[in-house]
Amino acid sequence: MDKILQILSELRPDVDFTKVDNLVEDEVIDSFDLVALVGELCDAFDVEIGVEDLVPENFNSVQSIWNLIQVIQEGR
Amino acid sequence: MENLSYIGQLNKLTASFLRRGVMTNCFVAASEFEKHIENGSVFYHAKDDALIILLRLQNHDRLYYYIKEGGSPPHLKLTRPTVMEIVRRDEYQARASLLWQSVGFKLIVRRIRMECINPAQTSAADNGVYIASREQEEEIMRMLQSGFDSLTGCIPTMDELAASVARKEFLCIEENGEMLGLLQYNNDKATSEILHLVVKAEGRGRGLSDRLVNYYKSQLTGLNKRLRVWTNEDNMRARAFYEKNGYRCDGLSSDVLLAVK
Repeated sequence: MDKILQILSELRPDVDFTKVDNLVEDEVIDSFDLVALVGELCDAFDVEIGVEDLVPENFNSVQSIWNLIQVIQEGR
Repeated sequence: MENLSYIGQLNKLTASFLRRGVMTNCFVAASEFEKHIENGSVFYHAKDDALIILLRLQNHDRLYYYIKEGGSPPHLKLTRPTVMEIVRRDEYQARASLLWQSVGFKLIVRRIRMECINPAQTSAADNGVYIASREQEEEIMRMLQSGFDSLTGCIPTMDELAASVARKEFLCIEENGEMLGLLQYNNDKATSEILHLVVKAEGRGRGLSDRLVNYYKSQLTGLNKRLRVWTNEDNMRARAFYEKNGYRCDGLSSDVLLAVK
């Protein structure tokens, strides 16, 4: 999860991601951030995230992003 | 161009393009494509370094792209007027806009986003604005069609308009039974955006837009939402109007490009 935190912090240095949830629904990260975030996650974890995965519940917190990565890595 | 027949196909196509450094203008949720895919109105063109998705709308196509780093826009045989919008937030998008212009697309409008943070408490009691009803859908459509460009004005279909009316997103103002102005907005958890604001020529200069915006803001007062609107960069009148109502440019802009076959 540290890697996810690092990616998020590089994307939005002004946000303390350990303290916020509802990242997407509260627009802490917007749809433009989201696409950039997915690009970084795919490269960092060598996974393929599809557009169907781009729903708020998968990206609302560091934990939910980690869960998504694990589900993909385990072959769904 | 091939027809995209199911949502999973979109997932498979995009998976290899959602990577670092990819240029894209596609920030919409897959679910928003779903209905269009069911209607057979989504097409794609895929090659190694680029993926194009075309959404067939009433009188034009809307183009979404993914272009890998170092890639270039593919040569497309377009059969209808084709519009794309590129939100310019970093060097990738600015470069993408130039790339598409180099292959025949023309920049027709640059939009800027304005935002009103912490809007002042607004009361709109009895200012003549009311929430539009189902019976007014056709009149609303006529006003949108006469007030906004058919290709770039984001005019909803009748179904989309009806759904928006049902969600109470259209505000109207009328005089002697005639609708003179309307405002459409959307409402997310953290943000709300004015999508259309139009006042007929005979109603202008009488503060109807102010009354519509006041009413709109009064609906959202206290909800701690960021209120936004996109307006044309060179429409100084509109910009001054929104500034007067508490909006400021937030630094985001977008290029609207058009190719005519």
